[in-house]
Amino acid sequence: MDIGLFLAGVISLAGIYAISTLGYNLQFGQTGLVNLGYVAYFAVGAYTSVILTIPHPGPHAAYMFGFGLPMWVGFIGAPIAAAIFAYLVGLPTLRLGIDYFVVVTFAVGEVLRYVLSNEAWLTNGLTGFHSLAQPFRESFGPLVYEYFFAGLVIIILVATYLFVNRICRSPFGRALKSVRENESVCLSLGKKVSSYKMKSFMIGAAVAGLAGSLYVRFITLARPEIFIPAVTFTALLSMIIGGKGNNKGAVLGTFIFIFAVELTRFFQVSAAYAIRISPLRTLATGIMLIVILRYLPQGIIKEARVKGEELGR
Amino acid sequence: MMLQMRNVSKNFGGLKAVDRCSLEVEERSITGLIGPNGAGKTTLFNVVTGFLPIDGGGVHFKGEDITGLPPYGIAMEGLVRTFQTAAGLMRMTVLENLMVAPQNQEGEGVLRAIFKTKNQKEEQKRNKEKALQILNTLDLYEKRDEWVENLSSGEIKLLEVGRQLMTNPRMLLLDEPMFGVSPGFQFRMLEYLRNLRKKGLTFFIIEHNLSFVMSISDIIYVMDFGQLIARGTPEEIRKDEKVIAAYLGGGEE
Repeated sequence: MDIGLFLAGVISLAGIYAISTLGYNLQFGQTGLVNLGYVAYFAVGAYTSVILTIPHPGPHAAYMFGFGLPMWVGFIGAPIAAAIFAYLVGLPTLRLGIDYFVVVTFAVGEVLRYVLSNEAWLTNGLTGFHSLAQPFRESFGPLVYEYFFAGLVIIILVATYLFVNRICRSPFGRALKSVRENESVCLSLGKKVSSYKMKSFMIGAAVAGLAGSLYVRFITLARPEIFIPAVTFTALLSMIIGGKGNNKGAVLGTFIFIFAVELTRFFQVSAAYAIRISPLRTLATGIMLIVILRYLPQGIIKEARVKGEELGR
Repeated sequence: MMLQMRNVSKNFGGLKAVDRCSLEVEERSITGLIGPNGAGKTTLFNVVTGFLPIDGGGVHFKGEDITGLPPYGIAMEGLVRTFQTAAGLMRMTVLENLMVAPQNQEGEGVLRAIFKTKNQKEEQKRNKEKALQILNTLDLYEKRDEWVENLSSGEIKLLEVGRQLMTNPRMLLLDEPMFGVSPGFQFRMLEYLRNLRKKGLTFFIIEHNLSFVMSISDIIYVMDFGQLIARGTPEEIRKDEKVIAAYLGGGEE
């Protein structure tokens, strides 16, 4: 295996998940919305970007839509669709107490996967979509393209980081933190808690949608089986490893997590053992999490205290 | 008249937690509310500030009917409360606690937060100056960059009053400001509240610390079993037999 290509692939993957973690951190780390169905918004973004851009299907296809729009429309449509979906989910669920919210959001993720599997007129069912086009694919040779894609992901990651960070540091972001800390206090100050929660939920979902739309371009495939809770838990674990409520931590945590998982591919074992020990990878992930929680309970980078000098500017 | 309640009631099942309470708070006064544990004082606060739905009666503030408004709506009207247990925003700094409080900040909208406007910067600067001033009077200036969770409960109680003040309220409802506050801080709190009153703020205070409430209040209401049983100046309340009975357990005659 070419190490350069391998690295480009892992960087693309980690970059995409890091974008996803940034949105998750806005919802969970900043606002305290424990969303266990984050994958749903990732999936809505993914499918939206695909359906907007694939050519119109022929008369014999199981699905009805394909708008043949340019790729960038897909990348813009994905976060918008995910945010709209979050709005619809948020209307009833954000009124719930936190424990019920956790359960219901998890259910939303599960239900959506079944919808994706069964509503073939829209999603082509279990087959899904494959051989998807990739941005600027024709401009590069097959090997060089991997590097280009990694670079593209990093650029979008940086832009997302700057965007989310700006939100977190604004008076709006401060209000989100106060929602996380104490809703009653927030209300007593005259802040409409429900509206802040909704906005945070929608922005986080939009970021997930963007990550989802990049992910399907990376693997050139969109199928219901991809959008399992593991996507949510990758964001959750990365956030906890990196440091809850810290955007730098969110990015760092994701890269550490993804690299740790992917590097296990390099352990050379015979084929006979490979299958038997593959669950060890999950085990290793679990151990890593426990060790980090034991020795760095606030993650690798703690939530930063906002210094007085940074305020009022 | 700043605050007026007419027959305010709140039931929990068969229990009349607040039973047809009518009271008035004059502008620029400090009005106390005392009563034994479980009398319904905090429930009355919760009903008046919209934290609990009202079951009967009405509340007027500055002559306007605020009955049934949501809690944030009531706070926007300028009627702002504090909480019995220290309610700091723990994982935020002291200064952030104050700067989050002002209402209708420019940068609280998503778009304005992204496109940081000039007005927003100026507003933040003004808020910061005001916050630092409040921290100075509260003697918390040195701790401005500290997490609130690292403060003592007395400091948090002081900070809480300061934070609610950042909203520019017309009237403050304080739920046991001395609860969990050490004697040293009690003096600071007393001085602080007196100064605020001189500046024109109106107070309605629940308090168990009788010497404090007697020394600071103009008028005191006494509550027992959900009902108001007495109203008067501290002098009158001290002598009121119903009050003495309520506190000393007048059941065994």
